[in-house]
Amino acid sequence: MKAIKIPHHKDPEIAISYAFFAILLLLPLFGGRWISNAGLYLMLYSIMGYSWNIFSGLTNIVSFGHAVYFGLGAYATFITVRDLGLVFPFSAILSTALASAMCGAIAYIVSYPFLGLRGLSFAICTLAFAEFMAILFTNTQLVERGREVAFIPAQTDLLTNYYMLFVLLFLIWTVFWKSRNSKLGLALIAIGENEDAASSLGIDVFSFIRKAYVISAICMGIAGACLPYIVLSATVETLFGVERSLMPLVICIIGGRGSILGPLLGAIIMHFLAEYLRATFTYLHWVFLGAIVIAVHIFEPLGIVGYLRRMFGGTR
Amino acid sequence: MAYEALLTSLLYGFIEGSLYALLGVGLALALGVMKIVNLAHGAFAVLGAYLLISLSASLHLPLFITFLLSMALVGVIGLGAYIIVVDKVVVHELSTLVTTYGLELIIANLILSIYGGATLTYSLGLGTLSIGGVVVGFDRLLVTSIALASILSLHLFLKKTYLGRAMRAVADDIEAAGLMGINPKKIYAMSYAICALLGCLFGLSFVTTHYVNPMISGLLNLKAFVVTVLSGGNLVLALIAGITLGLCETTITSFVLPTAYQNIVPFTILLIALTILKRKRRL
Repeated sequence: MKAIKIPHHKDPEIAISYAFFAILLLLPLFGGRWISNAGLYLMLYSIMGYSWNIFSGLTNIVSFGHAVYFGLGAYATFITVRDLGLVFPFSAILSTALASAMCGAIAYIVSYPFLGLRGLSFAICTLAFAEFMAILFTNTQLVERGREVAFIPAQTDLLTNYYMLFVLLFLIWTVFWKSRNSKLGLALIAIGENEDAASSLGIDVFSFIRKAYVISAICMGIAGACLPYIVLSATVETLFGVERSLMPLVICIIGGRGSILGPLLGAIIMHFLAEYLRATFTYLHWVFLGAIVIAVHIFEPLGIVGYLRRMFGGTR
Repeated sequence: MAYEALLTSLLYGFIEGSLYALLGVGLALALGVMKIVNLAHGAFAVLGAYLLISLSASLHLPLFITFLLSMALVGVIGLGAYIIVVDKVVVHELSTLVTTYGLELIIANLILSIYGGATLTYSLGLGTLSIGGVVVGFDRLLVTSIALASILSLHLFLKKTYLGRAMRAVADDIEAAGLMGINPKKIYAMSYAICALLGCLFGLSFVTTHYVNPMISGLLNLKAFVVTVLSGGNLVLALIAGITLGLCETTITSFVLPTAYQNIVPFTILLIALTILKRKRRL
């Protein structure tokens, strides 16, 4: 495993990310509705990417089941908007808070049985947990309430959604790179490189990875809580399905796992590829994404960011 | 009546379970020899099922020849997948996980885009047998005997033939096996192809008795993984684990939970087995 560079304040990745944020901030002013919509999904995917990156990207303990937290977050929005009937500013605040609380609590509980596992066992275990929750939610009808599709009334317009997601993405991005440069992030990278060595240096492995797992779950829950405000409808399959678990993984692997810029780049590729291919060939976009993931793994394991670093001679 | 219902669910559990064992030994072989979890295993099963359906519809050959033809095609595809993709990443355990998942995405979604998401089956039309009030189709008995026979022949292959012994040697210690004149790369390619063949054999047996669609490949992977985790790679234990899984599924859905919860059984077994058995131990 190649070493991941610890960035300081002059890190080009952070500078490029700021440039991206400036573009995203001004995008709705110059672009039309289509551009704003594209930016909206791009930011949603980026939040999912950063949430996955904070745990799996840094520690190399790959989670295949983050859809659980995405679905729980979306369910929190259905509770606040549909069941409690709150109006916009309060509903958004309460649904993100509720999503964070639910996801944090579930992640904290399952961390005891799950985080004793590593590698393949952990990946399969999270995959099974996501499917387990999907079956549970399908049969209890908590989301759909006996209908085909669950709906919430529209509370926000496109621009409100856009800037809500912008603020959340900026917060989560800041959380990611600040914690990556903190003691937590250094410990996580050390655990990812060599767990036994990290443990022998006095790092409390379990408590650090549990902290990262809980933070990661909360971020994913916030991403999930945003989805119903954008699309206004959901089914269990779109919330807990394997595609949801796979998206952040694909985004981070394409962009560069463990890096600060990676999820933004990965989300751009994921969004445009997925949208264009979905429009042209219905199911083939996952074929291409699968092929891209394989190609990235074979030729450039650290993704686009790894490639850029090698081309422009980053200090490594 | 309750007695007959119990007998029926036990018999069907045994039949399902022997199929799951057949699915699981393929995954266990790849895990034992190459130390990878082949997440494309379910996709090979689905591929075999769809090849059988489309080949028999287009070529009108005898069933047995169509069977062999689909198995040969899946074997070649598995070998190709190994040479093009898996061989490049086989040393990194997590990379293989992600790349084989990529393979599964490619295969399952190609099938989905060609055939659509409709559920299909391939009925052999063999009629049914009634033993003491328990009704069972001859096709189910046939696929059970195929599954048991393939596990037995895999066992004999691994114990008696040169190639099988070479595989076990590579599984034990790859460096020592290399020093004894075994080419590990060839053994890896061979065991991946055999893994694909076993998956295909499961798919062929499954499609004659059940309805399949391309989206079940992920579920099949997890069921195979249950068998693998419970058995630890031992073939006899894999048979027992598969049958246990089948019996748990049928008895729980007949007597405890509604049928909609059928698939929750393997996940619960998997979660319990992984978190208790594999804790603090690298798989």
